Amino acid sequence: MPLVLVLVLVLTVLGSALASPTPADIMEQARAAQRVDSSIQTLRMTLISRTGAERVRELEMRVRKDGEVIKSYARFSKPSDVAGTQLVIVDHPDRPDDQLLYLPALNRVNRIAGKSRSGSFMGSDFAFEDFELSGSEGGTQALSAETSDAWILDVQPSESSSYSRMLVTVHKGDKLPRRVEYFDKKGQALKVLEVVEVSTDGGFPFPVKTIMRNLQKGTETRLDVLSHELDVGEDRIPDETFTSAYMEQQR
Amino acid sequence: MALAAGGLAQAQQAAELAFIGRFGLAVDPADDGPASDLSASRLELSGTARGPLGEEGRWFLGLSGEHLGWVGRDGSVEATWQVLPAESGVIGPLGGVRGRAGLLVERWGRLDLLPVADVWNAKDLRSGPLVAPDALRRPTPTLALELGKPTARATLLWGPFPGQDLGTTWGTDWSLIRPGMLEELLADAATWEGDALSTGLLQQGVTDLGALLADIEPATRRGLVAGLGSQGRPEDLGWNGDFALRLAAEGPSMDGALTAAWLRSRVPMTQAHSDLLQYLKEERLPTLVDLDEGLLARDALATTWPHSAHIAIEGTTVLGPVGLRAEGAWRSAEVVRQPWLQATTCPSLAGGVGLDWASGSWLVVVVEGRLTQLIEAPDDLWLTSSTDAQLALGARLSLLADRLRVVPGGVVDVLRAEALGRIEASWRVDDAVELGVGGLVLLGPAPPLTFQEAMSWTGGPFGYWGDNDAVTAHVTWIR
Repeated sequence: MPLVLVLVLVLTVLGSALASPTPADIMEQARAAQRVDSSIQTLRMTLISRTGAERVRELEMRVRKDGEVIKSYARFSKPSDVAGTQLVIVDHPDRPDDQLLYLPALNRVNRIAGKSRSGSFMGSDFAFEDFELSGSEGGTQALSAETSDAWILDVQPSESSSYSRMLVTVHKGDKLPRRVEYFDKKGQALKVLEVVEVSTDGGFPFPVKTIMRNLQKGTETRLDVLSHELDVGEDRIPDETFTSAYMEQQR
Repeated sequence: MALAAGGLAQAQQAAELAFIGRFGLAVDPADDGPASDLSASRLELSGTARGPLGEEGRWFLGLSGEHLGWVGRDGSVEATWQVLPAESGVIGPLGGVRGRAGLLVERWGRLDLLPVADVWNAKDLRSGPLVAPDALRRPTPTLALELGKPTARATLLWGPFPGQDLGTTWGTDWSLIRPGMLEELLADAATWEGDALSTGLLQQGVTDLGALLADIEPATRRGLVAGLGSQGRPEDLGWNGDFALRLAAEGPSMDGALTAAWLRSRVPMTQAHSDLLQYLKEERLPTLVDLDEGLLARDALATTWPHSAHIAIEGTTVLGPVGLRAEGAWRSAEVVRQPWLQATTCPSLAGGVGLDWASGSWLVVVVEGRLTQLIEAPDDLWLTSSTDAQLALGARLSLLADRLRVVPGGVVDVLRAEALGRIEASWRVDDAVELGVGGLVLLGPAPPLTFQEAMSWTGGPFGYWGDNDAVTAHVTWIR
């Protein structure tokens, strides 16, 4: 599933388990709503500085779900100097993820070690760990508030996360998280993710415009879905997509 | 290449076009003598296009034009323009295998700063360490057929027309023979003596040759150097080329490769006539008897391009927060330089280890070490030694949402106590423009000033080119 949907699914899984009074039901509904086994999407990532200056990056994301394992492949196509940069994340539920990064200048695939996951993703306000599912496990959750159309969940992620707390607003209608507030290890508000626009494809809701704001730096990153194909099948995204051999061939 | 169905799936996508223009300037602030260059500039205009080919393949095409300019301390100006091919070719299924063909860069090995196994492509060494990493490897005609799965695969490679390292023997600050050295040698040689008859005969000839070199047009000199640099190369018949078999496997947390290859040397093995060398070392002219015995009839400099077997092993894994990379290589006949532009071959064994630590994409720190051992090497080596140990440290900081990039780095030649340090900072003004400044510092013994000092140099490369410290600047236009 696309980058945005990975984010959303992370948060949905986190949140729906605690969306009492029937957290199991809500989780099941949320998972059912997000049930996309594979997707190919073209995304535009706009990095906006504190002064308002914008930089645009475009990338193609391919995501495939094999049981509990979520495999993501991203390839940047713009701007020209980062075109060809590729990233693979294989998200395992029971062990550290595999992350591969291909940099055209080096003509080589690099394995990314664990620490890097808490850092910025390609200069954006997203962190690598914002795209992981397994990183959300091992934490605790509670229902913080409830409105007529949303549950607000207070999530404390596992120790390995760079966040100490997340406040997740889950829409009761389509079960999509619409807003997430991230807190740093000191408990200070760090970032806010907002789903600005949701679209549907075959009755399946998914976010097409998302903004991540860094409250401490004053920067923001806008993520727009330019095109999408859902449930594309294994022939379009074979296992080979998530290997260094494949990345090296996408020069 | 005919492309058939099967193999890796490829999403249909429109062709990508990219254009990058980059102007770089290196200024040497120190006065290293009248013959050295004050500044060197390079304007590169490169274009690339890539797109899908059939259902599951892709094509890519690249072309680069570069304009090089040098300004000497005496005010002289040189400039040259040339078109260089960039990586171009096709990749896709070919029958039951995957294939790629064209002018390709085949990256072997896992080390970036101190590579051991990255030997398929010749290197661009014209500007020493100022060459950008993505311009270092010269694309070479290659046909590669890959069998098996991406997780366990065997690749057969044929490089019918191997390239040679791009550098200049004579005439620039990064040449083996730097500006002024040869001219000064000939001026000296005009005063050397042989016997009574030969002195009169040869002194005038050497004087004329010195005058000729002093007056030679830069373009003529570059042509002469290029011609001499290709001397002795085998005909491009295809079977004189390179062959390799590469076995690679990757698992969840590690990957590795084993490579066996038969490669032509990327640098020439030169053998100067021993008598001629003796005259140069003793600073005397040959006698008439020497001339009569056929000195003039023999090749003053014989050049060959020997083949060598190459076996390398490499691997990558992750240990907690650190990425670990390692590679090792054995070569049966490494070309090694000797004083007075001599060279020979000997087996070599080299290994290196690299460690990475990263925090997101904003900070990457890399440490690499390399040990090279020449086996049964001659005692007199030039710009290398039978045992070499180097340590490199590099970092890359991306700040302010990737607008500001700072890349410091350095290499220490442990056994010779020589070092190279470099830093570059670049500011991304917007999506289209980047500005950068930097500096290069070389530390070592005082570099050679004369031809004789250069040819008998006992230090390493950082000291040899030690007066090429530079302040650099660049502007890049990206479309």
